[in-house]
Amino acid sequence: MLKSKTNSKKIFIYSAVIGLLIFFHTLGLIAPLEGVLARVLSPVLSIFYSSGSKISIVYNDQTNKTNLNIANAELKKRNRELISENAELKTLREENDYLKKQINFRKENDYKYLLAEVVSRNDLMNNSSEDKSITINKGRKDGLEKGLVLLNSEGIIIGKIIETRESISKACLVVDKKCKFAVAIQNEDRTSGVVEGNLGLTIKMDLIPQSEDISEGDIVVSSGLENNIPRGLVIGQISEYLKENNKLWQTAVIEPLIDFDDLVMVSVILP
Amino acid sequence: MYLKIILKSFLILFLIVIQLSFISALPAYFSNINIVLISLVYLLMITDLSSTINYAIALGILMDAFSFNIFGSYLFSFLLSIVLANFLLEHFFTNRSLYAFVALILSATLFNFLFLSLINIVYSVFIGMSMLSFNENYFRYVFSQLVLNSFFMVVVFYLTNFLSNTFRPVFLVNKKR
Repeated sequence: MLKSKTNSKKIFIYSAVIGLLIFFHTLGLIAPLEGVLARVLSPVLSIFYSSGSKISIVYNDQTNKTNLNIANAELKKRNRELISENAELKTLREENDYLKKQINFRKENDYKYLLAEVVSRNDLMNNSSEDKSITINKGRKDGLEKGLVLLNSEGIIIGKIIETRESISKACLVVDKKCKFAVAIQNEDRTSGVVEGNLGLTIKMDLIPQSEDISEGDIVVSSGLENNIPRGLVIGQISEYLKENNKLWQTAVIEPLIDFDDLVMVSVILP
Repeated sequence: MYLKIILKSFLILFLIVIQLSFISALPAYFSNINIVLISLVYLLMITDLSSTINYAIALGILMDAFSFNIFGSYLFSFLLSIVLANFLLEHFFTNRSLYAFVALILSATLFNFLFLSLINIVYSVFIGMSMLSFNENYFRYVFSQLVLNSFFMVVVFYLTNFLSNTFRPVFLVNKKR
């Protein structure tokens, strides 16, 4: 009898505590507390995330070792091509700088950046291969909002912020199906469209008119049609395209140019 | 008393940090391990329901604080999974053998997924937005977590057996006079 009374009292206390916590969270009353917790734990989270990420890189390197020689030869070839392309682009940049000065043009990549550390990846609720997201240690109080774009150290698009909290934010990666971007292909026609993640591995671009001429190796960049996402940021490279005469549209598969296991630090372009 | 509370708090924070950052960054299937649930089932085996519930509440709240799902999802799913696992432990498993450990972690993992899915379905009915898509990949994820959690539990069981006598069977020998 006494035990049952104590149990009922315990259940009542637990229910009251849980109920109040959820109620306060809904009202946003415990948001500052959550913010403090996130700020206190974020350095530790970053350290542990970085260790896990290193293990992941080593593991992937080991599994990919067999293809290393082939990849090396391909990279050498690609390097030679890029050196020549780089020289060409340098000349163009000099020419461009001169012209900008002439017309008093504003520097094109004068973005405001905010550096953030990755503290977690995906979600335990659904960590399936399709869902690719990261959590960063900057939130609303740092000026982040939904829709802002994330870049890696080389300026390549990683993903987009989909949700923010006081001190942390969640971003979907470009290979996630929920992540969509307005893009343009750097071909002769400057084909524009929308891309979305494909099975957590690649990026897909649908609804490309048959008349557009696209080819493997074309670079895909942001089109600048979205708010807060500047034009010309690299997303990936076309690795495959499907063009059938009996269909209205063609589809392109875009290979991301970054290794998502390598992400420890990201920059967010502020509005 | 205070030292105990501080140590318990550190253990809870350590588990959260390991789950959220370290495990989530691990390659391929290894990132599917649910170390929080494994710890809760282990605690249930070595302590009692009341103290495991305290841990489940603390771990659930912290997981929810760092998650972008509906607040309370982890809290409720951990809590209910542990209560149901305790029911199974009291009514179906008479000892603390390896089989009991594996059976309990399997059922707790299944209950956890079940409650998370139910919360998500209820939420999507009212709000119209679903956080989960119940496709082949999702069920593959559930299966991989079941396998990994069981494997990890086996490791924890043998490790405990190696370090202490907690789960070693005790035989009452009838000595002849």
